[in-house]
Amino acid sequence: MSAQQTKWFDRKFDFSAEQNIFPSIIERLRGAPARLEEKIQGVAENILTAKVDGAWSIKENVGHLIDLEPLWMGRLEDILNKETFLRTADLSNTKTHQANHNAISLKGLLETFRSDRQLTVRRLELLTEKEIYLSALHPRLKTPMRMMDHFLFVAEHDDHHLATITQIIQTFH
Amino acid sequence: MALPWFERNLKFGYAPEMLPFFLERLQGTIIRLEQKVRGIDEKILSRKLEGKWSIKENIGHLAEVDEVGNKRLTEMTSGVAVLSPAVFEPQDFNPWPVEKVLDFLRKTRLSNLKKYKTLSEEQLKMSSLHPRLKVPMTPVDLAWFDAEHDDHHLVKINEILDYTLNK
Repeated sequence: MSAQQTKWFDRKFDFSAEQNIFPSIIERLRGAPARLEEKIQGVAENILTAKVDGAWSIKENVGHLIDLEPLWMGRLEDILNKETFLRTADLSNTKTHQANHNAISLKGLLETFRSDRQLTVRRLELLTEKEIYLSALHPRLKTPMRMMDHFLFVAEHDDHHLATITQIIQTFH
Repeated sequence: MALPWFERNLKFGYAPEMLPFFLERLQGTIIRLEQKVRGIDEKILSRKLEGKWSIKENIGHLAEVDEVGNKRLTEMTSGVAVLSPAVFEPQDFNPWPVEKVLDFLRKTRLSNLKKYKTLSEEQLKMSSLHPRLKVPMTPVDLAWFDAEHDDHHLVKINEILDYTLNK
């Protein structure tokens, strides 16, 4: 395959969908822990912690997904509280850089992600159809983001890091 | 409740650089299905609620759609104007053990993933008309379309399990 994957900050998002596709988005979010576990269980520790070209290791990518789950949930509350802007993300990802996820066991990282994501999914299942269409402005993109768009964004972010992990694994084969 | 698939508004025109993400989704469907059906009685997996597809039929359908997708990939990269319609031979998946249905999907899915990975950037931009939607579709659009279609059926399976296990 000749095409390189698009960088996260170069991604363009289309939030124009009017139809309620929230059940599919929840399903994608629910599936991320299983996909991650399948991909990296059994991968050697030296590969899990390797920083190829100085970029995040596999464990750091997983840790980053864990680090961002509170932001996603906080933004859910921002939308429900009718805030004008969603809370900002730390674009330099200080939390992930300082967490030293490489020192944590893979089992621990995967269990934390599974458990945090389960809580997110349970919360999403309680949202009403009206709440799915409520919105606030995204602080970086400066566009209105509905609850449905926000969690589509999260599902896309999961895929971005899963694809990055696949690339890392491929560099060792 | 899942929106009926044929009512979905679908936009195409994805760049080749998006393909790695869509392949990642297509690859992840099998483990998601495995985790959903693990430990569930074969009778529940074969049950048709209100005459609708059973869980096994939903999974088998994804494999059949993969077979159509594989043919469509060849058509797109051969410059065929209009893609073949999605026509399926009637097949009863309910007597099959679920592991056999999953194996069928594993086989078709891995074959499609392998095929996508052999395509050049030029081939990823080639398009043919989708016979139902009447819009041009590239291999990258097809990967996205099938990933969305997978999610639709995962939602349907979840609904069946929710109804059956929590009633």
